[in-house]
Amino acid sequence: MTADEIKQTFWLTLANAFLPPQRPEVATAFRTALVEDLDELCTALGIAAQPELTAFRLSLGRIPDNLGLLVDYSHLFLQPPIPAKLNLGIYIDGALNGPCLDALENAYRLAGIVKRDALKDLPDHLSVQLETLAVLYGEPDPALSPEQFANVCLVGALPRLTAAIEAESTASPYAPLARLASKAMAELVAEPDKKTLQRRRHAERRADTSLGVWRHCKTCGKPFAREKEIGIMIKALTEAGLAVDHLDHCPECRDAMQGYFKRAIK
Amino acid sequence: MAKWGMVIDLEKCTGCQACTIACGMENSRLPGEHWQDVIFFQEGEYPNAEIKWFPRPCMHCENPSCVAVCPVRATYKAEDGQVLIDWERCIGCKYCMIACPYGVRFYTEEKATYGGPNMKDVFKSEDAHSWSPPWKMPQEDWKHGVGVQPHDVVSKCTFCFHRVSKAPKGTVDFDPQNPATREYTPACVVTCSPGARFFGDLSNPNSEVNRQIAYKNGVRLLDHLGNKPQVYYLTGEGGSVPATRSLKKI
Repeated sequence: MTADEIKQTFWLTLANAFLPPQRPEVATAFRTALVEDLDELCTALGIAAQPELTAFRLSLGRIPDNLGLLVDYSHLFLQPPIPAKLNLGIYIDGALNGPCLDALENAYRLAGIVKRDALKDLPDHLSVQLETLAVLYGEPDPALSPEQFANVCLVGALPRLTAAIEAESTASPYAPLARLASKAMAELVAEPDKKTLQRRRHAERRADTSLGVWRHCKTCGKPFAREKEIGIMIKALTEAGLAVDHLDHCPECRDAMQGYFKRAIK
Repeated sequence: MAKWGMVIDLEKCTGCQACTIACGMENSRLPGEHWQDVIFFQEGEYPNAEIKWFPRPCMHCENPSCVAVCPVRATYKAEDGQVLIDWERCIGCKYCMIACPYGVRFYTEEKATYGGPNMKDVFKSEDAHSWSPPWKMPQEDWKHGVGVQPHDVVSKCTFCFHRVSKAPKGTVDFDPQNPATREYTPACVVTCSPGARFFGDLSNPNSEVNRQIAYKNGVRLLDHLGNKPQVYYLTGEGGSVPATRSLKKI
C-alpha cells in the first residue's frame, strides 16, 4: 500500500467508527477488531498513538455488550441535550448551519462529491467529512487537496469535539478515539500544502522588519518602511528633482529633529 | 487659472490655535488630527530663550513630493494649484506620508493622539465613513478629499477646497473682512483674529498675498528641498525664520 492508500484506509476506518453502532456486526467489529486495525494503521503512518490505543482498549473493557456501546454513543452524540455534537460546524461557528457549512458545501462541490439521498444529516457531520478526506487521498490529482479540505473545518473542530466528549465522559471509548483522530489530524493533515506554505512564507517576509529589509529610523531606530518601497520613493523623488535625505527618519521623528514640538489642545 | 497660496504673518500670529479649531470644525476632523496644526519651537539659549510658534498647514507645494510618489495617482495637483487627495483612489499605502517633508498628512486608521477616547469607537460609522461625528459640515466630496473620510485613506488640508472652489471667477484676494469673499475664504483665514493670514492668487502680481510677500520678505518652509511651497511665512525683523531650520543642521 502507498502512503496515501494507508491514510485513506485510516480515515475511512475512523469515519465508520463514528457512525452509530446500530448494526450488530458493526458494533462487534468496533469492540473487537477496531483497536488492532488502528494500531496497525498508526504504526504504518508513524503516529505515536499508544496512549490513546491503550485508553481505548481499557474503555472497551467497560462496555459489556453491543447494546452498551449503542447506549454510550446515544448518550454522547444523540440524546438531547447532546453533550458532544458530531456536526462539527458548531465548534467553528458556534451554531448549526453557519458559514462553515457553506464553506464545506463549496469544498464538496470542488471535490466533485454529492450527498446521497439516504444521508439524513448535514454535510458537516464528522463521518461525512472523514469519508470525504479518505476519498480525496484516493484521488490522483484532486481539485481540492486533502489538506485544504481538512483546514476548512476538521483541523479546528476536532480538538473541540475531543474536549466536549471528555467533559461529559472520560470513560467512554469515544474519548480516546476522538483524541487519536485529533492527534492524527494534527500530524498528517495539518502538514501545510504548497499554497499554505507559500502564504506562510509571504507572511513571514511581510513580518520581517530586520535592518536591510526595512528602513530603520536613524533617530528612534524603529522600522518604518520597507527598503524596497523607500527605493521606489527615492527614484520617484529624484526624478522630480526633490530631496530624499528626510527618508532616513520616520515621519514621527522629523518634527523633534528640527526642534519642533506640539502643544495639545485640551 | 489661479494659483492659490497662503501667507502667514508670524509677527501677528499669537499661537492661539483658533485656526486649528476652526479647521477641525469646518472639515469634521477627529480630535488630535489637526490638518492645521500650530508647531512650537525654542529659539535662543538660556537666559535668552524664547518659545516661538508657527502654524503649519499643508504647503500645497508647486512640486509636491507626495504627488511624485503616489503609486495610484490619488494625490494630485488641482488646476488652481491645490494638492488634493482623491479618496476614491487612495489605497492607504502611506507613501505620501513618508515622502512629505512637512509631516502634514494623516492616516485614518491611526489611534487618537490627543489622549482622549478613540472617537472612531465612540461615534461608530455604519456606512463607508471611518466615523460618524455627532456634528459635521454638510459638504462631502471624496474626489477632492472633502468631508468625513472613509476607512484606510490619507487625509490633509485642502485649502478649504469646498469654499474656495465656489468663489466667483476672477477672485484674486480672499479677504474675510469683505462680505463678497468671506464665505469663500478658508476657515483658518476667516477665524484668525489677529489677521495673520492672507489667502489669494499667487499668479497675480497685484494680489495681496504677493504684496505681503514682497514687502515683508516672505519665506517658505524648508525651501532648499525643492518642493516650492505655496504657503509663505512673514517673519519681520528679528523674527524666526522657519525656512532655515533644515533637517541637516540638527
